[in-house]
Amino acid sequence: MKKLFTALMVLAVLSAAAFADAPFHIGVVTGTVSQSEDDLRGAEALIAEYGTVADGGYIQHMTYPDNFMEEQETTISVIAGLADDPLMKAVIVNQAVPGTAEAFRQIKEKRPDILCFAGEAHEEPYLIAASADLATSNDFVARGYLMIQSAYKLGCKAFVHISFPRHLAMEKMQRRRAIMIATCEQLGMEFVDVSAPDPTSDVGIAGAQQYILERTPEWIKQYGENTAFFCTNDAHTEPLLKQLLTYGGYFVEADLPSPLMGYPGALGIDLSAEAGDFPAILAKVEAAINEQGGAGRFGTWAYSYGYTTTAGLGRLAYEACTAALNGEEYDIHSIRNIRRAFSYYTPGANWNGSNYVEASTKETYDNFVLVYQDTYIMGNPGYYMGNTDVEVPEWCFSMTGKEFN
Amino acid sequence: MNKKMNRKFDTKDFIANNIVPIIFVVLCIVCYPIAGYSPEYLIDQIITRLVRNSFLVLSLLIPIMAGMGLNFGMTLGAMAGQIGIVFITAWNIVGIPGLLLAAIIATPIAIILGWFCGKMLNMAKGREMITSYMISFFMNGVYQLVVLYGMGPVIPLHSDQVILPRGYGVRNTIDLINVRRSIDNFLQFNIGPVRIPLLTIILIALLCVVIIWFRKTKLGQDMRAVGQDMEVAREAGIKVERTRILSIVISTVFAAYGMIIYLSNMGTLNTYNSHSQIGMFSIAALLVGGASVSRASIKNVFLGIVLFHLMFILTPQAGKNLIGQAQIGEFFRVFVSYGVITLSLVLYEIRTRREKAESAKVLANAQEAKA
Amino acid sequence: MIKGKSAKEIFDIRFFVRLGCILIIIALAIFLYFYGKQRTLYVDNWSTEINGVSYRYADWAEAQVDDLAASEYNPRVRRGIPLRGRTHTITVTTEDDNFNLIELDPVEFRLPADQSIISLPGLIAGLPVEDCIKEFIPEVVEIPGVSATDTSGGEEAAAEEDLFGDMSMDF
Repeated sequence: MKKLFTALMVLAVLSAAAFADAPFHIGVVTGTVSQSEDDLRGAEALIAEYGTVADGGYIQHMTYPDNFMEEQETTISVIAGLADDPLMKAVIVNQAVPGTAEAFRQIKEKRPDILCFAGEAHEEPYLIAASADLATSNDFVARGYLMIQSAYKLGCKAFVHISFPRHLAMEKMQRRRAIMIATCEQLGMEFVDVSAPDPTSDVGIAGAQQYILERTPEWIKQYGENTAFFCTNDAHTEPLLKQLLTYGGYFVEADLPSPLMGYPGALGIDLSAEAGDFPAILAKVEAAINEQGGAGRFGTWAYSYGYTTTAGLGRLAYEACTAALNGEEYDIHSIRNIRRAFSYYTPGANWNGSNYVEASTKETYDNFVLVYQDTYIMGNPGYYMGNTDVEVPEWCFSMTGKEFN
Repeated sequence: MNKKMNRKFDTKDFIANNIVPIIFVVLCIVCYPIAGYSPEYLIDQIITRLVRNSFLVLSLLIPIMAGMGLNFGMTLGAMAGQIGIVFITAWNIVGIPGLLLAAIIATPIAIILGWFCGKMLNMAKGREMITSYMISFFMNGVYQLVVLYGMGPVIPLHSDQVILPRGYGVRNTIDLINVRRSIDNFLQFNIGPVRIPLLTIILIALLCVVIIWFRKTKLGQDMRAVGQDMEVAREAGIKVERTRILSIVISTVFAAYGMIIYLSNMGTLNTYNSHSQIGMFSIAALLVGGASVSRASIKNVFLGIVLFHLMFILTPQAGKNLIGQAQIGEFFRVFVSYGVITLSLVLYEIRTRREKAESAKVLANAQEAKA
Repeated sequence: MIKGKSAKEIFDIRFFVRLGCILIIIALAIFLYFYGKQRTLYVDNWSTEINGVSYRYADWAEAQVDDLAASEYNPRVRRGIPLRGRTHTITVTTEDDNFNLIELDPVEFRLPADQSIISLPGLIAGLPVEDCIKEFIPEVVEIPGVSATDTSGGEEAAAEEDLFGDMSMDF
């Protein structure tokens, strides 16, 4: 008994000693596996690289509640509670669900030295930009243009946009749709608006997926096989992919693109062995696509967006804190630095980005950065579209979404 | 001898009557060292949550006094408060004047909603809790309709911060930076690292005083009489229906004010979700404080908020430190928090049944003695 | 409640006290509305045209409104500043080609609207402040090659309606 106690004591002392190893801590807050697995895997990648605080590393990982829309107080206290650690130097929230802005304000009130990063902000841009040091989001402006461009290059004549009123009430979705419509008109493509049931409504995910399963063949018949499809909701993605694979049609990329988004379920492949290893996941998905006759028709981002955002922001925070520790300057707002941090986790895939511009007032937000990865079209062999090098015309940035109501 | 037995019963009774707060105290004591938060942080958080939530929880007391159970319909008041907040944000009225104006706008809405709710509850006597719960659900539909489609074209509001770019409907989240903590920061002082928002505390204390005073007024006495026994009260010449409606109206109006304080403290408004859990959490806090469906005091309110929210702060971190994975801590918190609420409702039923059995026994004994 | 009461009974002193209270509250609400209102001023460094004359953006400028923190303006930068009340002052600092600082005299101005925009190039050119400040009206952007009104909108709406009709059959 006494021996055990001594051993425990030694362990405790050792771990306490190890605790003091990391000169600073980085707090990472993500959803749980059930809500957003990719984001959580990104945090695990960070832990693998920098170690957890409990083992003397840098990363303190927490999760926000599953029903984050209702339990905002908990979200706030989980995020703000990280600031209680005197070594905490940066807090990353991905996805930045409602309440993040307020939590950041609380952190800043007490500890202005803590860097607050928000990934994929759910709150309104001006709101999160006012309290976070850096907020990133997928580039809904450039992607609205580029997705249509990609579809055009793939030889599509029509573009089907599947959504529902609740989603179209979000500024991002609305602006992206308007840009898509405008681009379609410029390129002489047909743009088709399609309404599908909201998975959070009473029909549920199953009902919404059933609807997509049943309707997709008809849509393909109506608009021809040279049609690209896009859905704003993640739950719709899997059945859509499944039907496109069988009946023809194109899919440029998902709303939050990832090789894990819809593909494993649609293709019926098991990726549990590859968890977190994206080149392997992509290779397996691509092989399955080719086997099932979908070569050249399906695209994605080679590396999951959620995964890279968590990991990339973590790396950015690490670099910034290290630089601060060594008394060096490090500009977290520089898109170059952000690209570099993100690219670190996505060897081979390019990133691009721009600052967010408020459409109606043309105000520029220095600390709100929109990012996107190059689109990868799966095939034999697969290839990148080169979207990161395409110049997005200026009018895209000033479309408000009001144009096509 | 009789007296001695009573004393013995008391200790047992004390545990039986306060089992929920006792469980919470024990859990908090266990979780505190595991979570490893500094005491300053915890005290600061608890004070924040006390000032944030107590107005809302206090609004529940009056319907309990009138024997109408836990007023899940306070959600209606919360909606009224939110509508007031949406207006002042759209008009850009800032600071304390803004919040005061929001309260003025919310009052008539809360009165109408409360009157409607009270009318409904009068039709469903004895089933007040489940009815008010359902009313809050279906009024949520009306609220969504008004906010999502009415604001803009029907109710003229033109603000980029509030209205969606498409021209109608309120945004999903509204930033309340202009009114954020304006009540709290006025007359605020610090004790060490802990912030004490004096004005909010004064407001809450004022409400407590009002509630204590209210119990002694004619209307308060009437409510208690109605709460004891409706039929007896009716025979004593009290307008039972009117009294019950008034108790709900007062509760709804206070809930609206409470929501305004809550939101100004939180700093953001989730237009479509903020109110939906407010009733649940406030009631849970009250129950955790040792209140029951038929009896609640101001003491229960404060004890409940402290314990319930302490749990909310401690368990995610404790769960993480205990099991190592952050998400399991989250599941642990959900399980414990809601589990204890269920327990308190079940225990209430058991206690009522036991009390009934006991009083029946006493009655039987008395009759036996008589015979 | 009103039933069976004469007009005299209804319009008693109590009624007037209550009416008075309501009027006072409404008056208070109106007062609060004007007292607490916050307006936004956009300080703008885009090229602009005032009274038919074009003014190029300043290469660098610093502007301070009232006692708030001063901020720097690079070309084509616009920042919104929230202000309470109507009358404010702005102090502008700029530099010439040789990087010499030029500090302009503080100017007092009245906000013409809830959202106003003040042009730095105009102020730097020495125009009276009334000409530089105007109501801010968000611009409507014209997209090359696209008509602003969507011609196919009608069809889309019809198609959507059609889909909803089908949906009810599906579930």
